[in-house]
Amino acid sequence: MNSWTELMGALGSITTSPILLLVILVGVLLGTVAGLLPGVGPSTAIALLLPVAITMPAELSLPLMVSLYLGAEYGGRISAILLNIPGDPGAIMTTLDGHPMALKGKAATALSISALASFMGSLLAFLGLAFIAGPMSELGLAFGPAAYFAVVVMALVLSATLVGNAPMLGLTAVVIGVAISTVGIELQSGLPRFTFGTFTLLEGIEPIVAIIGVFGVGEILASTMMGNSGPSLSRLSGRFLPTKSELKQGTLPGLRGSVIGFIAGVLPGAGTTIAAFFSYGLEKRLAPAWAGMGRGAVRGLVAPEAANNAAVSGSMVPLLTLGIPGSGTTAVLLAYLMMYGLNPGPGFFEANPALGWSIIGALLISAVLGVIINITASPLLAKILAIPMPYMAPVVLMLALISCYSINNTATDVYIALGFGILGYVMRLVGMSPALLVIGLVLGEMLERNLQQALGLTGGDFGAVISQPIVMVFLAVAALSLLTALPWKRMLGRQGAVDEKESVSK
Amino acid sequence: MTYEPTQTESPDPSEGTAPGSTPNDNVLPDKTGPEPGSTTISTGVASVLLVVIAVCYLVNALLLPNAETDEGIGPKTFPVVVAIVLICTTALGVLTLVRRRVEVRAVSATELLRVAICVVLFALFTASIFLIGFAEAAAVFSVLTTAFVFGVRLSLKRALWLLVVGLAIGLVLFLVFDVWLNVLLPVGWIEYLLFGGLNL
Repeated sequence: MNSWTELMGALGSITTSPILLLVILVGVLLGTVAGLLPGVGPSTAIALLLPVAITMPAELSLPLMVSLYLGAEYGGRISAILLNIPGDPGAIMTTLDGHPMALKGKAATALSISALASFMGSLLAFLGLAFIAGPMSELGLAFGPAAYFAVVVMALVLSATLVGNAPMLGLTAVVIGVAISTVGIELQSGLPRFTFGTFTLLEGIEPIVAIIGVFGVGEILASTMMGNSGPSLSRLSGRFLPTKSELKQGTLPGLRGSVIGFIAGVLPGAGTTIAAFFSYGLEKRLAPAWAGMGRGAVRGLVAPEAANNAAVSGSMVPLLTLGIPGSGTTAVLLAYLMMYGLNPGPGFFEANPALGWSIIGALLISAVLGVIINITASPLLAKILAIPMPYMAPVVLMLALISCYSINNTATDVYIALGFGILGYVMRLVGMSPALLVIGLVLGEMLERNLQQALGLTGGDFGAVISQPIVMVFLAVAALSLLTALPWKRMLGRQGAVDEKESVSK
Repeated sequence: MTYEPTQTESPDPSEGTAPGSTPNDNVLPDKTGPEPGSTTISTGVASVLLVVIAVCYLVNALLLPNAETDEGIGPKTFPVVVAIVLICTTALGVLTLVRRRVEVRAVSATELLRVAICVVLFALFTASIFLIGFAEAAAVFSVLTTAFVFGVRLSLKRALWLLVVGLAIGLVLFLVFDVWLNVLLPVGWIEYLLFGGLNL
C-alpha cells in the first residue's frame, strides 16, 4: 500500500510539474526518432545525451532517459514496418508481420495497431513494475556481500547465454567488460592496475566513454557500406484506425506479449530482443494455419510490439531494486546512476524514494505520450527515415565527440571511445553483442567489491562464501544456465558418432 | 538462439551491401558492382583482436604486485582469475568462430579500408578542434566523411554546400552545448565572431 501511495505522489508531482512533463515529452520524441533511425538505438541515444544530462539534476535527467528508452521502443517499429529494417534490436520480430502488412497496402493500419500494442505492453508492465518494485527492494536489503556477489555472477552468465547466438562469444564479451572494469586504482590497496604509467587511466575507464565508443562510434563504423540514396519506404496507405475485428485479433496476443515481455525484461541482460523473440514464438505456436503468421497477421505484429515495450519496464525491476541491468540500455542507465553518485540496488528506494518512484511514474507518462505521438505523428516521423546515412553519420560522430569530451574536457576520452568503437565494430562482425561488454563493465566493479567484502567477512575463506545456501542457489542458476547453453547435442552427437565408428571397427 | 541485427546486416551477407542501398546509389563501389565480402576476413580480424586482448590482459595481470593481506585479496588475485576465465572463453569463442558455428557478417576489403579511413578522420577531427575550433573542424570532417568514408561522389558545388551545412550543424551544436549547456568546446574564429562578441 505504501508503494502505491509513493507512486501516486510521484505521478502527482510529475503531472503538476510543467518542466518535468516537457522533459518527458522531449525524451519520448527523441527516443522515437532514435528508435526509428537504424543505427542509433536507445543505448547510443542515451549515451550521446551525456552533455545535456550532466547539466541537469538527476530528478530531471533520469526521467528523460527512461522516457527516451520507452520512446525508442515505440520508434523502432516505424522502420521495421515501413523499411523492413528494425530501428532497434527490439523491433526485429516486428518486421516479420509488420512489413508484409505494409506491402499489402496496410502500412498506416500496421503503424496504429503496433502503437496501441506498444501502449498496452507499456501500461501492463508499468503495473507489474509498480507492484513488484517495493517487495523486491525489501528482498534485496536482505542480501549480504556474498549473496550480492552470486547475484552479479548469475546476472553476467544469464546475460551472456541469453543474448546472441554463441554463448562462448557472449561470455567473452562479458569477461572483456569485467576485465576493463579492473583498470585504475584498486580501492582496497590503493595500487594502480593496467594504467601503463599514465595518469589518465588512474581513475579507470569511464563506463560512459566505453558506451559511446561501442554503441555510437562502433555503429557508424559498421554502417560505412550504407548507400547514399534514402531507403525505399513503403507508402503510408490503408485505414489509419484499426477495425474492431483487428482490435479483437490483437487483444489476447497483446496481453500474452505484455506478460512475456515483462518477465523477459526482469531477467538480467535479456531485454527487449529476447522479449519480442519469445512472444512471437509463442504466437506462432498458438496461431492456427489460417492466421497467416509471417504474411501480415495482426497477432504477429501485436505480440512482439507489446513485449518489447513491456520489457522496458521489466528491465527496470532488477536495475532499481538490485542494481543489476535487465538489458543493455539499462546498463547505460546504471552507468548514469553511478555517475550521479546514486547506488541503485537494495536501499535505493529507501535512500531516494522520490527519485525512484518518479522514474517509475515517468514510464507511465511516457507510455501515454508515446502512444499519442506515435499515432498522430507517425507519417511525419517516417520522413526522417529518408535521410541517408552518409549525411547522418558525421552528425552522430560530432555528438559522440562532444559527449566524450564533456566528461573531463580532454581529448583522451575521445580517443579511448574511438578504441572502443573499433572493438564494437569487430564484435558486430561476428555477432557479439556490444551490450554484453557494457554489462560486464558496469557490473565488474560491483563483482570485485562484493567478493572482497564477502572474503573480508569470512577471513578470506572462499569456501565459506559460496557455501551459504542463497549463494549456492544463485550460483546453481548460473551454472545451469551455462550448461544448458552449451551445444551438448552437437558434442554428444559427435561423441556418439565416434563411439559408433569404434563399435563398427571392433 | 537469437540474433541481434545491426542496420548494416544485409539479408544476404555475401552481397556486401547494406539494406537501404539501391543500385542507383551514387556510391563508389556500386559503379563496379557490389564487392564480394568474406567471412574469413571477419573471423580472422575478430579472432586476432580477441586473442590479443586476452593475452595482453593475462600478461599484465600476472605482472601486478601481489599485495594480499589478511583483510583482502589484494589487487592481483581478481584480475588473474578474470584473465584465466577470459583466456578460456576466448579460446572456446575463437574455436566457435573458426569452426563456423556462428553467423558471421561478410566484410570486404573496401569496407575495412573505409573503416580505417573513418578511424583516422575521427582521430584527426578530435585533434583539429584545438587548432581550428569545433565548428570549423566539424565542417571539414563532415565533407571528408561523406566523400571518403561513405564513398559519395561530390562535385565541387555539392562539396561546398556540404561544407556550409556541416559548418551550420557545428555552430548549432556549439551554441547548444558550449553557450547554453556550458560544455567548454574549443573556440575557432567563426564561433568567436558569432558568439564570443556577444559575451553569451
